[in-house]
Amino acid sequence: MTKILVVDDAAFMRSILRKILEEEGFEIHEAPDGDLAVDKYKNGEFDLVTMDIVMPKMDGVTAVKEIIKLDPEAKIIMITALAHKTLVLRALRAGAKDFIVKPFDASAVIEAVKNALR
Amino acid sequence: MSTDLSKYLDMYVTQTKEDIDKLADKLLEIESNPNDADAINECFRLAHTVKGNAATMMFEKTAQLAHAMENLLDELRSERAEVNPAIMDIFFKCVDRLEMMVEDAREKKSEPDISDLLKMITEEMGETTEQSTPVPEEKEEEKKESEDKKPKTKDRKKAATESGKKEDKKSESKGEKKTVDFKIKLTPECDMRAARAFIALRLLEEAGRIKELTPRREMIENDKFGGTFNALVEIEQDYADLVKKIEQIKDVEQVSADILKETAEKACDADAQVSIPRERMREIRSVRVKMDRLDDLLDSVGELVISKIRLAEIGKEIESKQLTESILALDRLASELQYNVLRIRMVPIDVVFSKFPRMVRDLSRQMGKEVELVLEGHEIELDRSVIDKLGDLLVHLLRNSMDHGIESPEERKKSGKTPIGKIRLAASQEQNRVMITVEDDGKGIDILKVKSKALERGLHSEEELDSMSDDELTNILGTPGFSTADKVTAVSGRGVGLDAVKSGIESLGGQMSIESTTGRGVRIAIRLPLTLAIILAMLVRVKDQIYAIPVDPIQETISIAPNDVKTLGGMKVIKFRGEITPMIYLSRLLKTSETHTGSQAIVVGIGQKKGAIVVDELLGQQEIVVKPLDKHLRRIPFFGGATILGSGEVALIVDVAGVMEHSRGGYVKVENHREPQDRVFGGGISNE
Repeated sequence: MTKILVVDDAAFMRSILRKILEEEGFEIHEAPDGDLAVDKYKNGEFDLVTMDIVMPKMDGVTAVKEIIKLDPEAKIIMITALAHKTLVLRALRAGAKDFIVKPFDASAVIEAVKNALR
Repeated sequence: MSTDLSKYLDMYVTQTKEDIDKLADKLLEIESNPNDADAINECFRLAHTVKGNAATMMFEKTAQLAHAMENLLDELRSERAEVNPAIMDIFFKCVDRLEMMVEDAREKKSEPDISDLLKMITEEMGETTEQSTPVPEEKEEEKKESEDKKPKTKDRKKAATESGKKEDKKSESKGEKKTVDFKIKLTPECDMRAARAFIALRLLEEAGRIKELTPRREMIENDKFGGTFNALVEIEQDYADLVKKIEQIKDVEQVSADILKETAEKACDADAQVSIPRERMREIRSVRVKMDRLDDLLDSVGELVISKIRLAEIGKEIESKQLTESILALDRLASELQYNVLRIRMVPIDVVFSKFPRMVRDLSRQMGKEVELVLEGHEIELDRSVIDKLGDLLVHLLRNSMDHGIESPEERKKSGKTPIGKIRLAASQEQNRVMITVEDDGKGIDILKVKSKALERGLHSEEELDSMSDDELTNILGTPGFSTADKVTAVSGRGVGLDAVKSGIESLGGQMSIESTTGRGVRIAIRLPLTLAIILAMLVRVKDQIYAIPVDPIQETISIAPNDVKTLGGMKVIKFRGEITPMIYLSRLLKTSETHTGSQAIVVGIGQKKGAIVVDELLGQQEIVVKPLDKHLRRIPFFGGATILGSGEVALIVDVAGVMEHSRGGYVKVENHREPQDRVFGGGISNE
């Protein structure tokens, strides 16, 4: 089964992403901050990561860099508020594949994930 | 509420209530300890989370209130405001209201009015921000977040262009390089256009080389474009797949790919032109012209200028008012024409810059380093002939910085730097010169290593080295035959060091200097002429021949009396501003005469080398059109070209660097005032 790591400090955002993606038949794992995300990614063999930007401990952009370092082919989608334009660009430069702007609707998430997995 | 998310309402209520509870707890912590920065940060983060939750579920007012709290917390966080009972009171009121709103959401009630709280916050903020900076730009955008949510149409992309598809059939010729004009249009409601465009550009870059981008990359990345951009991409593979991939990017409304006419002709495709949509025809504002046609044009303009000067001389003799007026008009037109032709040849430096981000990114991965490349001055223009050669030289400097300058992230952390190294490549224009700086924040140049290597290579004596300043030592790196690369690495090449780059820059009529601060980085400054085709030169007469000396390296012109000239170790020298400066006799170099005469000298300097070119007469400065020498003459290292004067005479253009290198006076005297004079004079000179 396709494994997706959902990284977000807000439990609600993790749950909602979990629900949306589980309905599409993906296996979901969660991490509440960048540090734990990198740890999980090391041992997890994930097919895709969704990454929040503003998080405690390690922020999303740094986490992208760390994960890309571990796996240059990693597929990471940023989940971002509209205000974080420059951070999104930084994440993309660091190797993130795509981004979804909050607030999102379910179809936008599914579309982006499927597109990235293709 | 967004319909497809409504089933998550219960989850939203439970978890957002949890977040609000935590927020209330943290607020209590702040109240008991107003200086607890961690608690303030945590509150900020929780308010942000609540805002995100609410916005996702389309609870506009809840999100708005959480956002207002966030702003006020930011004031505390950035110490623009202080914790006081009034502020805490507002926060707790907000938390109570948020709790209520979330409960209301469960019961599907509409959101209550929050204007009273928003007003309190605004007033509080007004007090704190009056003297300080306005709310940062990002904040402003965030406000739109909750308002701008319109339903999105999903089928826009289905309206993908016809032209892209038609072209697919024609791009079958795989493996052959072609230039394809990609036009990409984003939907009007696209969020974060810059980032979307970045994703599209990345796909293009992965497939080929972007030769031209309109608008410029920095404009796109700063979201200063209309949502449409054009990229000329040199590509080998079939691009039909690429078009599909770009179409799949969210918010891409339209993609068209047109093979450029030049390459289309090669593919013998007669109807290639027919398929260019009408709309596109109108948009073509530039034409591609072969470089040698421009050279021919410039040549003709040069001839025109020469004829004009000749005519002006005749005009002086005839003294006719009408003729003088016509000549003046002709003069003005000729200058304009010349200026415009030169402008046609100018190319923005972006042509070279645009390939660097990718290169730096690839190299940094390869080397396990983290490097951020900052590019400035994309729009600066240089003559095509300069640009072509400049690219390789800059590649070399960047590679050097990455390989030898920037340390590994671990090393950087140890020396208290950010793990990400920074390289700044900036171009700017100063009058008729272009300045380019390459700056890194790496470990700098190891001066001790430079010293020992210079000694080892026999470039300088120990005494010379000891008396040099750090700056002078650093610039030894540019001396021919010097390279600090101890071993050959795949990145910065086979020991080709800064010396090679420096001589490359000099061959472009430019200058390069190196500054280094140990542990802080290296800064390399390059000055280049805007064009190589027309230069300002000093015309001089030596015997019966006229020469042109480019004004740039000229430092001063001096008169010389016979007993100013000394002989030092068989070499003629002159003392100029306290420095022993070798004399350069053009006639002797060319073996046309053995005598050393001449009452004037032009002191020239390149880097730290100086020389005095001896001439009989100074004829004045003039703009000259540089004509390349033919094959036979090109072997003479002293001349960089020729020019035709108004009189019809040909003047050779002196290549100052070449002359200094080859004259007996090519002796290097390092500029240094601390050096005791008598040591230099040795004893060879009698009347000092």
